Amino acid sequence: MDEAGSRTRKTKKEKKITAKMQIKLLVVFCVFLAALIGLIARVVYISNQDKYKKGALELRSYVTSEIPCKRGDILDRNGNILATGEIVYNLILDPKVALDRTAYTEASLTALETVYGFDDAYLRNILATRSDSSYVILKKELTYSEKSAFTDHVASLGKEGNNVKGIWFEEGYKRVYPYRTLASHVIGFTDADGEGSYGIEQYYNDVLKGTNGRNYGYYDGTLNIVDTVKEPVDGDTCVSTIDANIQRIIESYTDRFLNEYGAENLGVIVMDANSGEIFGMQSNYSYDLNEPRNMSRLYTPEQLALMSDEQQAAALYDMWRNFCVSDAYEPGSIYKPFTVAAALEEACITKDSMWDCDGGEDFPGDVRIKCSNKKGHGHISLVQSIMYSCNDALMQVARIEGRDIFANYQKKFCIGSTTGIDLPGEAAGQSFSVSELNETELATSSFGQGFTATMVQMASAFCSLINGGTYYEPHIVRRIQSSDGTTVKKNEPVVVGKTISESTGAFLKDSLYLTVSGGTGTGAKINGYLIGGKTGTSQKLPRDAEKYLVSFLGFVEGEEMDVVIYIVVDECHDSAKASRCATAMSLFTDIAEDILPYLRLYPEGEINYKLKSVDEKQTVTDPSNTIYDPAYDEGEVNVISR
Amino acid sequence: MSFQDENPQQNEEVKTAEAPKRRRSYRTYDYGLLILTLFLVGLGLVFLYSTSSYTATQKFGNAAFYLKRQGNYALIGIIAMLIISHIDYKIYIAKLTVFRIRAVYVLYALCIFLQVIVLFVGEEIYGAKRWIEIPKIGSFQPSEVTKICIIVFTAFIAYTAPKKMNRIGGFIRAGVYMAPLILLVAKEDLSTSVVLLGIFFIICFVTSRKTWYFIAMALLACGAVAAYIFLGEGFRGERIEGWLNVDTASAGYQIRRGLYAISSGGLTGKGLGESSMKLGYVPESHNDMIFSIICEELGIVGAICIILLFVLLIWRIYTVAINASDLFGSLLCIGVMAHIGIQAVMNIAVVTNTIPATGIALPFISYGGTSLVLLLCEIGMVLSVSYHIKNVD
Repeated sequence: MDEAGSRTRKTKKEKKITAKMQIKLLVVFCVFLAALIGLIARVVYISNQDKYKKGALELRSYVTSEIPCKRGDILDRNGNILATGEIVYNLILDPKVALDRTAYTEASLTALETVYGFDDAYLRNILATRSDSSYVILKKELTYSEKSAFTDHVASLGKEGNNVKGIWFEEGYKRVYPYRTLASHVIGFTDADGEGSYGIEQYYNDVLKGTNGRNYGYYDGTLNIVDTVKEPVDGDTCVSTIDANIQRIIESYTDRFLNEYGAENLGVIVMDANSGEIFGMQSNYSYDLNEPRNMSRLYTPEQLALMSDEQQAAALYDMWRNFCVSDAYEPGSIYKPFTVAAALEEACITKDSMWDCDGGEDFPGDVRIKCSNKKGHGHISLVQSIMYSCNDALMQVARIEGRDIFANYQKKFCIGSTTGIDLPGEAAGQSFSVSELNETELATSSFGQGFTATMVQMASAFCSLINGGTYYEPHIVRRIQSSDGTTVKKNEPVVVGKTISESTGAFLKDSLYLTVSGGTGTGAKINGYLIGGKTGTSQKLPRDAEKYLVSFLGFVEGEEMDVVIYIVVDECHDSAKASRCATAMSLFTDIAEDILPYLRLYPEGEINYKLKSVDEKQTVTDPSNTIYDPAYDEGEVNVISR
Repeated sequence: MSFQDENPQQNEEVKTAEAPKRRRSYRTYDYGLLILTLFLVGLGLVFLYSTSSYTATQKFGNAAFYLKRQGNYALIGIIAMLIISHIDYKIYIAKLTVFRIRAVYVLYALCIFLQVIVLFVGEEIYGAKRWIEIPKIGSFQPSEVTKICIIVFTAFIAYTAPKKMNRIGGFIRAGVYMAPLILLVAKEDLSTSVVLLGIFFIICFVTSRKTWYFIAMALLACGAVAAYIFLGEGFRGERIEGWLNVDTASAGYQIRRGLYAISSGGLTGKGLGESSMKLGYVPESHNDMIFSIICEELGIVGAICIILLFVLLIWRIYTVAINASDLFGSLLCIGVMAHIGIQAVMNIAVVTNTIPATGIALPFISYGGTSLVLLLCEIGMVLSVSYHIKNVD
């Protein structure tokens, strides 16, 4: 080192930096200094640019987004899930992000095309037309596996997958009905907006709906982003009074009946006489709640193709309508016990009073209203008038009652006014006002013609006859509980009023038992059970069209509960069955036999039961074998001739 | 670091006080510069870890991946710096004992060789061949060596004939020597060639007695560069687009993200390690764009501190240049000073979108092994110059 240094020194004579060079170097230094100070100013300037601050925040912040809440479940009385929400995913494209870099656009589009088979031109058109948007829904209601197909694909791309940007999945809920068709008219369905239509879904929409949460960031005064999450509030769960097993039994028999014979309308209600809780309710064919617009159960594709849009819409409304609640009809002879109840209660007649039936009554204006038995029942007791469904005797009872008492009791039994059941679209029916109840109207009303009522009205009123006179408001939802299971509201049985006294009730129950054991209702006998009930055959308007609505309103008393089962067959398509209330009774026995043990109402002499029940079933389902007296059936028809 | 070392004026006093002793004193070794350099390197590693840990975890599953590599290079660089600082800098222009060739010629030839080699075997990154892949060690950037070569060779030419520099012909003669180096670099990496040109230009400017020639030439050069940029083909045009419309152009997206980062830091920043833009939002956040993350984490205050550190470093080298025992030492220091100054200014100017985007790293702080080692070697040269400052004439 020294050697080299000395050599240089020798040749160059200690050349040193000159004063001029030093000044110039100082200039260079000052230029650097100035440049760096200038850059400090530049940094300060950029720091105060709000647009860049916002840009940074926007990169990390999100547009206000909704966090979906879960619509409340609908359970049956045993906790079976009738309706619930399933997590689904919407595929969202954020064109703004996807267009940020060419590499992002290409990678994202390729991924979408390979996984979901999108058309390239279609996606590019979306990017071009909605480049300012951050939210374009590409696909709706993807399942978890469909969603993970995409995420797995992106993961498999490795490093390249990092360029897939601007595609994300939005969580949502889809309404699912695990039992598909079960209790469809009671449950109802939800439309695309998540609003309930028909049934519990509609009636309890506000309870079930819940409140969507929100996730939003906003800038405060100092341009800090403030994150706020408003948690979603899940909808409450409705626990129904419906029992899925009972409902399933009912539907298996109604479906079989409709398949074999068909009817304009078919309705079944099974309810607890001591609380107004409805165990099962069925009207006509069920429809698939998961596809409420699918009418393939009712119509063939050829039939559907022939229908106009209006016809299709009408058919849909028809399919969705709950006959048990929304349709009023003339109930017919099953109203007779109510007429008798009113007269007994007001002491117009006594239990021992006797009646003469000559086959009809004459009314002013040359009108004769015939009895079921045109030859007349002769001299009969009050019990017999119910047993044999004597119109003549009932017309006389009603005449003694008078219109005030009759109308008053109709009101007490909620005939002609809504029962307040927690289902939408309840019809009130039409009954005569006091002033309208002239002699003829009073006479026809006494045996259930001339006014209209719904199935729910009749079944609920009948419950009060059975349980000793307490009218319970019928209901279909027992309890409302929050999503974590705590009870929010309990629908205790609501007593609307007192209809009749215990003793009147006891007399009527006896009469109804006798009706089944030896009157018009023998077809409803079930071995091992004490069944009470009343048949009804009403001739529909216009009377000469010879269209009939047959019904059976029966009950079974047990230690724990009294069950009321109501069957209505409106215009059976099988002409042999259409006018005979045996049609309704055979349905009753089929259903009751299966349901009663389930409700812990066991037949007496259980060992014999099974063998005999096989016998019984054969006899009931075989139309050629008549275990009931056809004369009663014939006589049920109420002919009003002018 | 003793008090005396801090200031050359103080050295004068020491010098007179210790006149009877040997002329060469250990106290002239510029510990201030050494400490300042080590501090910058240390700070650089801290920032590098902060900015690279997210990317490193994403890419390699190891947050310290970049830190470890850069740390190794820093260690190599510091050892090299300490060794070089104890080697007499005049040896670079002395004839080698074996071949009787000056070392600087060997370096020149080596640079030309490497630059040619890189055009053929270079690894293409971002559409340019700038790196040579060396198995097991990593990629190596020959243009960094060229920077040292430019410094030493220009200093050598100016030293051997400072009077020639006074005439335009002398300058052109020097330029002819440098042209192959600069043009070879310019072919693949325009911005680095601008740095090389800048170093060469500043050394010439200081040496020459003429001033206006250089100012005219500087303007001409700026015009030429501008013309090249604006009329240049391919991605250069895009870069200009990105610079002019930084808020909207897709080419300006990297810089735009950098600006977002700078502005979200505010006065005092979010705190070390708290940057959110480094989480994949600012590309090259540990590399060319590291300054923007420093701004985000340490705010305006931190940015000013970093810039002041560079000012201090340049000033330290300036004082060594002024006090060097001979002209060659001074010119070496000027070259190093020019190199660090130009790179710092260019990098920060790019990050703040003051000039169009270039690929210039922030000295000592940005990730890059070759750059760090060779910068430390340069500092070693300056320390060597300071070591040989004579106390008495």
